[in-house]
Amino acid sequence: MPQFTQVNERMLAVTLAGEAVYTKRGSMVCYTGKVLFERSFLTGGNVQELGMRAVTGEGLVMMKSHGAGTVHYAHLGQFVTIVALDNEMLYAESESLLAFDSRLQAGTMFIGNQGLQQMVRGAVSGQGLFTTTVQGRGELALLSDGPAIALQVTPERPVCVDPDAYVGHKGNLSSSFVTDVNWKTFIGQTSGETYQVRFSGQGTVYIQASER
Amino acid sequence: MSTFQINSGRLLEITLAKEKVLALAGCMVAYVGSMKFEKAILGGEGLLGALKRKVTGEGMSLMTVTGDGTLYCAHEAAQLAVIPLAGDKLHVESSGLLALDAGLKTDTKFVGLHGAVSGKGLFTTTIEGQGSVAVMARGELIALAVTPATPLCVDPQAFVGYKGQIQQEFVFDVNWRTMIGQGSGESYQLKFTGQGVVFIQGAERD
Repeated sequence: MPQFTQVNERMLAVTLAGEAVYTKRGSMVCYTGKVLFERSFLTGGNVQELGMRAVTGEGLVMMKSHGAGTVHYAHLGQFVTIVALDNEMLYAESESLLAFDSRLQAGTMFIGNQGLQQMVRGAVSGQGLFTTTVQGRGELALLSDGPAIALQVTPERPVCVDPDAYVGHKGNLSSSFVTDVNWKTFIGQTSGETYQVRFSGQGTVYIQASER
Repeated sequence: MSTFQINSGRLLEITLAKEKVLALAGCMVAYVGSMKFEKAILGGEGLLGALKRKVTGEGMSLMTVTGDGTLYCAHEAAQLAVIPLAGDKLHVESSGLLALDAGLKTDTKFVGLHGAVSGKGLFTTTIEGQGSVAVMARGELIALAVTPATPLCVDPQAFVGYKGQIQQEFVFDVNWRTMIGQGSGESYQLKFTGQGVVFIQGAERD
């Protein structure tokens, strides 16, 4: 299976022995061995998935690297975090996904089907109504501006996140939209923290130290 | 009392037990517990202070956060440092301020005409009292000690703040080369004399 290792905080190395890994297109910086790079059309999904991605704009333009050797990946000097999945599902913005190994399944999920609130969330945060999901057993790498910080969520301890700092989440979590609108908002004196996303349940939320 | 802690260099964790902090508006990235965010119209310094700030352009867009739990703050992945104050006074550029205890007193101070040359304001923000202040820097924040025997010169573009008994003056290094456009790029500096600490960053603002 592909081995994900962190070269430094901004670079990922993947060792391949005949397997494949999907990565952000153009993110290869160097490699040793015999590795082929090609544009991936299906990216671990099926034709229906492809259609869905094209329609939703949650464009997951990936490339497939396969062969034997070690490949280094990086993207715009952003910080890299390796996440191991053990038959779990991870949700992330497609732009935050650097690489995932070919044992994992990628998909697109409509997050607006949980009621009107979610629709508002996507519209307000500019983060879209669709998100990319990766599931199965294997490893993936996330990109973030500043190191990604994993916050544990437990049933007693829900976590509220600024949508602009959100990178991804995994586990059994449900999200809801929280607004903090008061009279000051209407006279233009907002605190800049008018809406948040609350995650409750059991799992992990990844955030970055910067707001898009 | 609220506690300030830095997580992985770029994220500030503030633990609040029904207390209040002032933070840069919009810098919250996540929180646990219950928190209330409000624009700080007066910024904890009264009507006169707010007016002074408006007039001087040493603008600080702060919010007050009240609550019970942990607040996570960050701004553009800037590197952070916590400066504890025990009754002393910190001078800092308002653009470098991320968060401070609500118990601290802030004010705007006239620092002299050299601000016109350096492109930095003529005014700086002062923070005084007991508590913690979180400041931002590009690259790591470096604290340099100043003693009466060793005055310190810094590039105004790398200057973040200072505390202690320090006088600040302006030093020029202008010669005929500067006039014909062959400046070394270091034609003016800030000189600090006295006893205290000067904070600089590993990058120069433009």
